[in-house]
Amino acid sequence: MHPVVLIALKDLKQLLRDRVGLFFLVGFPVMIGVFFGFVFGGGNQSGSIHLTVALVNEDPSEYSAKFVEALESGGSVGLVRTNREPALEMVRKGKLAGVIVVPEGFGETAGMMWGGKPATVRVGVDPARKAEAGMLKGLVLEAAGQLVPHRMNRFLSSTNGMAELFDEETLAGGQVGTVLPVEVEGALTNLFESLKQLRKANLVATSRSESSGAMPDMSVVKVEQIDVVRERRNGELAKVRSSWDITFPQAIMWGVLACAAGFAVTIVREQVRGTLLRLQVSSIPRWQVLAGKSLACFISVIFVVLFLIGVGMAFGMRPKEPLLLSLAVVCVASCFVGITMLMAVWGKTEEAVGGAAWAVGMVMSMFGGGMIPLTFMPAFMKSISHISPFKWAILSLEGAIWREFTFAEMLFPCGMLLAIGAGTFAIGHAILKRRLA
Amino acid sequence: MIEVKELRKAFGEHVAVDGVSFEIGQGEVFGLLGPNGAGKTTTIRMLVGLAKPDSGSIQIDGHSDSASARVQRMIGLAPQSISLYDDLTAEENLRFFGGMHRLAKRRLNERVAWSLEVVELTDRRRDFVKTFSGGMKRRLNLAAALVHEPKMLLLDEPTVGVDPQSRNHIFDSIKTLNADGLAVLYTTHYMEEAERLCDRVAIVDHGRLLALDCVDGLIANHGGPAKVRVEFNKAPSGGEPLPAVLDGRQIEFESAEPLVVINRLAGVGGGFAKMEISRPNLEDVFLKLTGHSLRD
Repeated sequence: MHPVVLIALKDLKQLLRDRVGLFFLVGFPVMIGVFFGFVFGGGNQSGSIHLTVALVNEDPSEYSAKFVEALESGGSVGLVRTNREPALEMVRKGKLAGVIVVPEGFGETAGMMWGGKPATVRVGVDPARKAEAGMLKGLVLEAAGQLVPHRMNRFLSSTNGMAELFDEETLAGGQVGTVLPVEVEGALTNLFESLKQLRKANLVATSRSESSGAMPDMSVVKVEQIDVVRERRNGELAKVRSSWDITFPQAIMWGVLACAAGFAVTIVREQVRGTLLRLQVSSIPRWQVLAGKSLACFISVIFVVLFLIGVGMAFGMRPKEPLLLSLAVVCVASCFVGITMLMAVWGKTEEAVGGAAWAVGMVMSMFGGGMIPLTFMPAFMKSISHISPFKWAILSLEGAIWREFTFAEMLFPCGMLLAIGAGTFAIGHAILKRRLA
Repeated sequence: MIEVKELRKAFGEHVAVDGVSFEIGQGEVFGLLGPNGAGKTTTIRMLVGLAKPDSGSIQIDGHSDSASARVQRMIGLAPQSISLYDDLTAEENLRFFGGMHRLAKRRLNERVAWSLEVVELTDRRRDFVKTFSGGMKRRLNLAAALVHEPKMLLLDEPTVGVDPQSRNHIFDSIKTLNADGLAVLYTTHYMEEAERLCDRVAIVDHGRLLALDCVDGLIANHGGPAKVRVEFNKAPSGGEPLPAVLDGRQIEFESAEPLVVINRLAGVGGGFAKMEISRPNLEDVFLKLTGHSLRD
């Protein structure tokens, strides 16, 4: 048997015999996945955060402009103005937290509390960011609510309102102006108009109550949910089936991190205990020793990822693109083989490397969206997230599991993973080589 | 088999090995005796190609590149630390290290069985190393150096922390291997081990080789005179002059020819009640050569 394979098999055998290590490899990530699965699937969260969402304004009215102005004035949401297709694409790819679509005709009834059918606003959210969905809906309702006084003021200052109360003959004869003072005339006009609106609303309410027994609809805006995944392909594909689709990529990454930390420790353990020295003086080239260790790490990452995908599927996760998922898994494994090599040289003892590997892994996870959504982070932190392999790993896994990435779309996150893997492997190898010389 | 000439290795300001030269022939047990930090391990690291000498040369069975696969296949190294996998069995460890030298399956099976037999661990072959005593681990450490059938064995302090029984096991194993023609380089700071095992001994200190000879030669040339202590039945009455001043009925002196002096003392009367002749050992040789003890 080739020495590289022998080293890999030996490492895997050792791994399987280490029960504590195995727990961190598979048990712990499953716990994480299940925990977050229930958290994300079970409720919404809110908080004072800043969301950046796409805005698609398809209504040219002044009310839609006012609505957008009201949205922005709150300071809780940043708007990227664009068209519907690119907006949905950006949300689907995880570049924006959500999308607000103001459809044509919004201005006709916006701000009317008793205007019959309320104005509609469509909201779509990245399924991985359910926590922000409720908040976005609240912001939309708040902005739409600000249109009510605007509509009233506009109505009350309009002469057309009065025209609806007095017939043309009265107005033409100038009787109103001659009979009433101007201020009284204005007050009456407002009163009549208000009564007229109230009467209309009552009629609608009565007819609804009679038919359904429900209270009249007094909402200022109707918020419709957009499924950003389904709408992309005109409903041809199923939407995200469950929260497990979203949480298991994170769980998988915890398993991968456990693998990387575990193998980093085995490399330093070989140094400390002298077995690496024995391998060095065996008649195989040094690169084969590292290749064997890397192969073992690669195989175990693949195993852990596949195992966790299996567990995720048992819970209800349904990867949509198995081939792309395979590509993502291979890239994630390759990346973390490199990271393992770098982790292995962070210290000279098993304790130092083990501790540092988990600590750095946690930081990578935090900045990469493995612990908290990137949306909750300030802009500079989001920028830092680009160098976190966690971000690209989760994105590539999500791309294949539910984001419906095309092969071309997978290339960038996968390329980032391979680049990070190659870079970290080269640095780690160089340091290890110097240390062993 | 091994020829080392003017070997030198420094780490920054510290010179670990300073102009060391020696040769080891086939079937010879060669000892490197010196305290910790004398440069023994660094010398071994250069011999197996793990460290590059600053100057000097190494020839192993005619090959000058000690890092080459061919040379490394000829060498069996038992490092000072126990270099084994605790969570593998004794047999799995040997199979793995034998596999690293690409032994064929049948040959590997034979060599694993033989190596376990040599170190008397056959009955524990399926036990995990973590369940072994320190002495058993040391023996398995030696077996792992033997499994690929090397021509020469480099043993770096192979008895550190070992109980007397395991030490005897290791000595017996080395003698058996040596009898089969294996060349052995044995580093130690225990002079008893060097005296008991080695055909020739090089005494090293602070990276320098101070003396090299067979044990008797070293003692004869550097050990100094023997120490003699004689206790008489009664104080001698006179006649022959005494070699030292009498202390009551007892006399102590040093002599290169103690038996000749004692023979002469027999003629001074008084009769011998007790007699001790302390022959110098390698500890004395080391003391004479360096001015300090091996254990300092």
